Formats: sequence, C-alpha cells, structure tokens
Amino acid sequence: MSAKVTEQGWRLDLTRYPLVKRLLQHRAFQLLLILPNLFFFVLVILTGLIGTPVGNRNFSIIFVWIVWWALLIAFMVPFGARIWCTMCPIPAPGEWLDHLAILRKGKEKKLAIAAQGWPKRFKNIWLQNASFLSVALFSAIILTRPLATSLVLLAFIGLAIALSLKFGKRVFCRYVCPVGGFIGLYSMTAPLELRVKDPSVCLKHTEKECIQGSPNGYGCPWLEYPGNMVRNTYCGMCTECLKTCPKDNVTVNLRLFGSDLFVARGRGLDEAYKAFIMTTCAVVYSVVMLGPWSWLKDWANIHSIPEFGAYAALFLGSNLLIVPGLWLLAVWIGQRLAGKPSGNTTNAPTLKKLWIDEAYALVPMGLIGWIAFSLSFLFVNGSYAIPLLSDPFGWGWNLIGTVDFHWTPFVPDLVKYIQVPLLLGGLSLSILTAYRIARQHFAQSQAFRLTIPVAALLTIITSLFMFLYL
Amino acid sequence: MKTLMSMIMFGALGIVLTLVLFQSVKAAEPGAVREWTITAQQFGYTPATFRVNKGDQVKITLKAEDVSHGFYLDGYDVSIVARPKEDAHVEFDANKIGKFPYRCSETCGSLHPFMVGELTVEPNSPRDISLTLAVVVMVGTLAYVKLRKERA
Repeated sequence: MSAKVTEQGWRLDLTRYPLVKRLLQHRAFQLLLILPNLFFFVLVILTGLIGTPVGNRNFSIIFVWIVWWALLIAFMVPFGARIWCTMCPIPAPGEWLDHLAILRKGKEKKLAIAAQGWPKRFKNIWLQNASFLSVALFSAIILTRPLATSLVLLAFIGLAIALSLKFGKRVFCRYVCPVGGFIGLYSMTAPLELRVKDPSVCLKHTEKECIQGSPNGYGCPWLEYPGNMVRNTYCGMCTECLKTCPKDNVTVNLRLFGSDLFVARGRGLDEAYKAFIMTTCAVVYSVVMLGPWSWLKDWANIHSIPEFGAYAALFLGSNLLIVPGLWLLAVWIGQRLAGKPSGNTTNAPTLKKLWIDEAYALVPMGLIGWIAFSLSFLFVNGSYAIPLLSDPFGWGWNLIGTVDFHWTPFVPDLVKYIQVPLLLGGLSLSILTAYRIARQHFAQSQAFRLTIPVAALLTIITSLFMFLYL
Repeated sequence: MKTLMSMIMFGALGIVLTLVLFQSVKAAEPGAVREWTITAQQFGYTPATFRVNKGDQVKITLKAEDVSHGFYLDGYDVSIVARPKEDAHVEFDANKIGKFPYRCSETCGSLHPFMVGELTVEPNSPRDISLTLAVVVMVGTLAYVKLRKERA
C-alpha cells in the first residue's frame, strides 16, 4: 500500500507508479498540455479580433468566460490545484524566447536576475490583487466584447514575454497574472500537491539543482525552493523539479482536501486580501450579472462616466474596505469573547494577526461561491458553445453541422438545488476552518468563542448568496 | 457559560427566523388572475421583479422598446419574443413555487446574456428553507466543534 499518514496527514505518493513518474519526468509533459491550449488561445485571439462583435456568437467570449472559466473554477482548481498553470499557454511564448528552446532543455537566466532584479516591494501578490480587481472592474466590458477579451489576453501575453526576457523565470505568473493570484489561494484546498519526499535530504544536498537547474530541467520557474515548500500557493506544477532532482526526492501526492489552509507559515495580508476580494467579487458578480437590476448593469457597462465612477467606488469600496472591515469587526468581537490565551500571554496574537489568519476561512466559502455563480451561468448559457463549434467567428460557417443549435438553457430551475447544498457545505467547511485556525492561537473553549462571530458573518454571506439565487 | 448562552441565542434566532418566514407563507392568497405588462429594453425588464401566488393565472404582455427581446421563464417552459411595435402575449398557471428568472432569448446586444428579471411565486419556500438551513448548519457546525473531543 503506497498511501501513508505523515505529520501533515494522509498522502498517496503518485510517483510510486512508474508510468506516472515517467510521464511527469518527461520533458514533453508540460508541452503536450500547453499545445492544445495554445491552439484554442490563438483561436480565441483571432475570433476576438476579427470575428463578430456579438459576444454570444463569438468563440472568444463563450469559450473563455463560460467554458474555460467553469472548468477552471469548478474542476481544475478544486481538484488539480495549479494544474491550469501547468498547461496555460500565456507564459509559453515568453519562456520559449527566453530559453531559445521549446522541448529540449535550453538556456536559462541566472536565478539572481529574477530574485534580485524584481522589486522587493512587489514580491507578494498585491500586484495580482490589483490586476484582478482591474479586470473585474471592467468585466461588463471584457466579458461581453470579443475585441476587449482579445486585447486583454494579448496584453497578458505581451507582458509575460517582456517579463520573461527581462527577468527570466515565470515572474509574470508568480507576481502579476490576475488569474494566477486566486488560483494560488484556492489551490490550497486541492487534494493534489507537489512536495519533496524528505526535507532532510534537501538540507544535506548542497547543489540544489531544483533552483539552479540542471541538464535535465530548469531551476524552479516559480522562484520556489521545493525543499521548503509547505503550501500549493506558489507551485506552478511545471514538474521541472521532478526532472532536475538527482536524489529522486520530489513527488506528487494525493491528499485530503484543504490541507494547506491550516499551514501557518506563509500567511500574509496580501493573501488575506485576495480572500476578501474573491469572496466579495463572487457576491458582486452574482448581483450585477445574475440579478434583475438593469441600472446596475448599465453602470458597470460604462453607460456614463459618473455612473461608472459610482460603480467603481461601490465595487472597490466593498472589496477593499467594507468586507475586510466587517471581517475585522467579527474577528475583533471574537477576540474580545475569547480573552487572552492561557499560559504565556506574551504570545497573544495581535488583532491584525488574527484578522489575517482567520481570512483563510473565507477560502472554502469563496471558492464554492464562485462555483455556485459559475454553475448558474454554465447551465443557462453553456448551449451557446454548441453552434460556435461550427462557426467560431460568427461568419455563418457550419463546419460540423451545429450552427443551427439554438440557445437552450439546461435545467435552469434545478441549478439552485445544486447551489444550495454546495453553499451550505462551504459554510460548514469555512466555520470548521475558522475554528481550526483559531485553535492555532487559543485553547479549545477560547477558539470556539472566537469562531462564533466569524461563523455569524460567514452565515450572513451564505444567506446573501441564497437570497440572490432563490 | 458564555458559549452555552451564545448557542442558545443562535438556536433561538434560527427558530424565530423559521417561524417568521413560514408565517409570511401562510399570508398568501392563491387563485387570482394576475396581468403584467413587461417592457424590455437593453438590458433589462420593467418591472424587473414581480410576485404572484401559487395557483394564480398569470397573463403577460411583453413589449420591446428598442430591439427584439425575448422572455424565457426558467422552470415554466414559457418563451415568447416581442419586436418593436409588435407585442407578445403568454398565459400560464403559476403552479411551481420559488423564484424563477426570466431571460432575454433573442440576442439583443453586448449584455444580452445578463438581461434578467425575476418572477417569484409565493410561497418562496425554497429560499425560506435554505436560509433556515444556513442557520441550522452554522449552529450544527459550532455544536460539532464544541462537543467533539479533540485528539491530544
């Protein structure tokens, strides 16, 4: 039996299966995943640039914002962690130009160029928070206009190329990509991880091919040191370290869902804000996109500058001030209820520390909130994809005979019966997470009291989703 | 003691909420004929929301103000299309309870997929029960963490 219970909990080492190990260590592994996505990516760019401007008749809008998005948020992230980052085509051209190679191992810039050249103040995910909020703020435009979708994706690819050529590595993915930020946060819930088998082997091994590179592969493009990695957050699952490690000490494990949420190391305000932003955006999107308030859609759609200004103020205010503020209030009340930790009171966590740590309790609920939002969208509008298989540009083609398939919502009245159990499960998981995080600072009864107001706020957020959907 | 008090408070809140919600359900008076004229314009409906009671006969006239718009009612298999100066009509029995979005089924512009209104057929028990369940789940989860024995 290859499964075992480690200090971190149950793990199943997938590299014990020779076929899996050979596949992951093969240089073509990532390329084979990237190539089909690159084909779709090019099609998305082209259809966006020269196809019909009508969003629901254009491949770019339907396949990026409905098909890909639903697959990403409902399957790839919760089950595969950063598996999308493994196959994402956006950084590939920049990486190929930097390496002057596609399949074989090419040249690579020294680690110091990225590690020391990238500004220290941006060695976090604040830029990703900002880039996500920027895209989200203009989502009524970007998600509905094919040209806007193409231009945004072209901007990403241009920036990724520029940063690859300047710094090497995947600086764009690690510090800038608006999608990468939330994938990292939510990948903590996934039952898949890349880790070293035995950290003590890494400690004794001085060459560190995993970060310096070797003839077999590149040094970690994500600027991580696998020997030190305890969370999925910044592991792009490119599998380079599986190729470079001469000690055969890197593996991919199956594990229990949510394992990383209880890892105290690495938590920070930037990630906490990512949790606030993602949860808030799931609610805001549900209100604006799925709600009946057309005036709000007009505001988001830049009907007029003052209206959009009001929308921007509401949107940014709720993301950056209101929700984080309410969370702070809940944690403050909880801290007051809990009292001082028993024993050594000099180690009492500050309010800021508790605010940040407890924010990770929003991860299960935020992810499930996004899944619930995306399901209603997928079930209702997914059928737009069928005619586009025949006519991706909206030019009247009928390549495979599906162009006459009309919009047909798929059991739209039953979606709520999937959403409600999901949201209730998310609520329960978030409360359990809040409690377990509280237990890292407090005794059992104190942690329970801290959790009460946090649970109340989580219940209010869940109720808000339900009020919108039911 | 604080903990016990908190749990009692939350439990009581859940019970009160449930009673209030189901009292409002009893107030519904079914069986009337409800006529609504809905005006569709990029990218919304007026009225954007309306309520009827279970058992009501609902008559809808759809007017399109600018371009052609559809009215597809989730869960009722009702679908009509109105064109400017060409109203569309439909009648149906409101025999299912809950909230049912109605959507534009004719591509009408950039925000077409988001052009949505809401019909609520009272009593909206699915929502009431779900909101109650949220409170129950919260209390239940808190009770679980309170009562379970942690491993040393």
